[in-house]
Amino acid sequence: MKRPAIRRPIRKLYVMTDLEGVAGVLNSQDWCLDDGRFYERARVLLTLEVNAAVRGFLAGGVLEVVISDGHGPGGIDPDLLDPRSELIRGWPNGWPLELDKTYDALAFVGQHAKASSLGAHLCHTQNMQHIDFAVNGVSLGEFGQLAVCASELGIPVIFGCGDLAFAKEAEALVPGIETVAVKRGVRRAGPGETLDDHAYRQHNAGAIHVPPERARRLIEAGARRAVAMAGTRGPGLIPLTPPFERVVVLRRHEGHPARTVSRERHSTSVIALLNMPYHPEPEI
Amino acid sequence: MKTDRIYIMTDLEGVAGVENFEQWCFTKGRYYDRARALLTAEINAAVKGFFAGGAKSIVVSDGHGDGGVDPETIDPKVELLRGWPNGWPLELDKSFDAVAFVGQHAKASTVGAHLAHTQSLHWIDCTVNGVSIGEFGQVVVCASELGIPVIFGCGDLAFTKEAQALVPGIETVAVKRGLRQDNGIDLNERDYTRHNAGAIHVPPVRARKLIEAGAKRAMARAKKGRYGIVPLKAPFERVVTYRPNDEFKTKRISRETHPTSVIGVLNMPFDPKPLT
Repeated sequence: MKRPAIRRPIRKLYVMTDLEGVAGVLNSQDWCLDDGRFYERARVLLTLEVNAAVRGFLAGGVLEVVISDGHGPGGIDPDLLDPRSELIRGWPNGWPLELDKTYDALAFVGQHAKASSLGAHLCHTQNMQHIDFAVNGVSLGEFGQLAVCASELGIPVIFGCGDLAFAKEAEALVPGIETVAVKRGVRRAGPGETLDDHAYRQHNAGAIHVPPERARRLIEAGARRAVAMAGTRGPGLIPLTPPFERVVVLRRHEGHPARTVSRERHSTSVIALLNMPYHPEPEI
Repeated sequence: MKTDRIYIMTDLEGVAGVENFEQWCFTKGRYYDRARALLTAEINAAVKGFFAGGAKSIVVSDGHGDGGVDPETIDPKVELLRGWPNGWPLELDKSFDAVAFVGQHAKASTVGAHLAHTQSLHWIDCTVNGVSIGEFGQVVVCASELGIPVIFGCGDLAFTKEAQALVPGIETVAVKRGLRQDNGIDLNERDYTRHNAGAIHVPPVRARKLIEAGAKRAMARAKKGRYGIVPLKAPFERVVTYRPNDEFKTKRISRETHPTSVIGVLNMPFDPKPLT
């Protein structure tokens, strides 16, 4: 008889959130920048997606859910947030963004794909200047960066929702992860590597959206499934082999007419590597 | 002890969901009005608890510089005090039986606090007779001089620890926890404004339930015990140290003394000198 996979129960869950992967968030300028006319609507849409995920996680048996507001100018409306959760805002201690070994698993809501993804919506890594961010040759977006931190701490990644390109990125990096796609980017001819940061902001603004109300039902069901299935389809961890090298390629932007590359190394820890400052130099 | 008439001091920085100074606590901040609504809702929760616990009359004192209480949504059973033309003790007098705090933040330079400061972001510390006191502590020593016990405080976790250390027996409720682990005493005023902006919050809806229950517990405890007054010993020396800012490039220090009254020393003007 086949024995079920041995896994620890998920009592405490860390949920990273962002605005660009939310259903109904249509573009960067109007919806994601804090002077955008629909920025406040976008915060409401994200908070409601988070609440849907929280309902699913709690229904699946999770006891404690901590929400981390990952959008630069803020993406969560604290007053609308499910009162059964807690909210982290501000990360004064850098990576791993207050994630620690008290957490049993990591999940993502509203996540977008990494910079230069094809068929993605509003994809970027950190900001519009990044063309790519890689550790030991593996390209990582904002999802991947936190996922490798979690892996170093031994914390599995169990769930992610956002656009379809993000969902594929997550499944490729963390086999077995449960994902829900709530929109699909309209494919552009190329990844936009030659654009400057200003032009890149507009590059991936076309998408087909699931309307928010239906998206929230899909997310709630997906979150519940993720808890039920955790550990049965894979460890949820990314294998890491030190030493670690980070290579970041930055677009041309104001004051920097050419692409620049930053390379840093750390002998033992990917978290320490992520905390190292950039030293961008002109591309050879 | 008697708890019929309660003075509630309030502030904005210790409220659940109030995330930082720039967006939430300054009048030009985009969420300043949201922050006022959040504080007012926390006060209303506390008021509900105090009335349920037997209070007969409550005065709410708006302690945020720019104003933190929305008069139109405050519980109509209370009275609202705004503006303190007579200085310390901020209209607290012997007609009150107890003092409570809502939305209170920790004192300047506190480790692990959220939006900690004393009076302004300019101050590094304020001590009276060598004991470091924040905005909470200043009201506490005034109340103690008048013989009025302090029975309740809610705000961030670092504030609740500060309150329990200064006033053993006080009932406290923590609604958020600051994430910064260094005190920032060598930062200038501008950098200190951003220093303590990271926190983990209880969502406001749940925070208000915790506050209501805590206020009710405070009333029950106060009926049974005698506590909430800190011992004071004249004469009093107040020492305030200041951070550098755009106007003053070095740290400064101000020392004043009063032979008999701590309220008297708090009302003395400051005379800061360069700290050497």
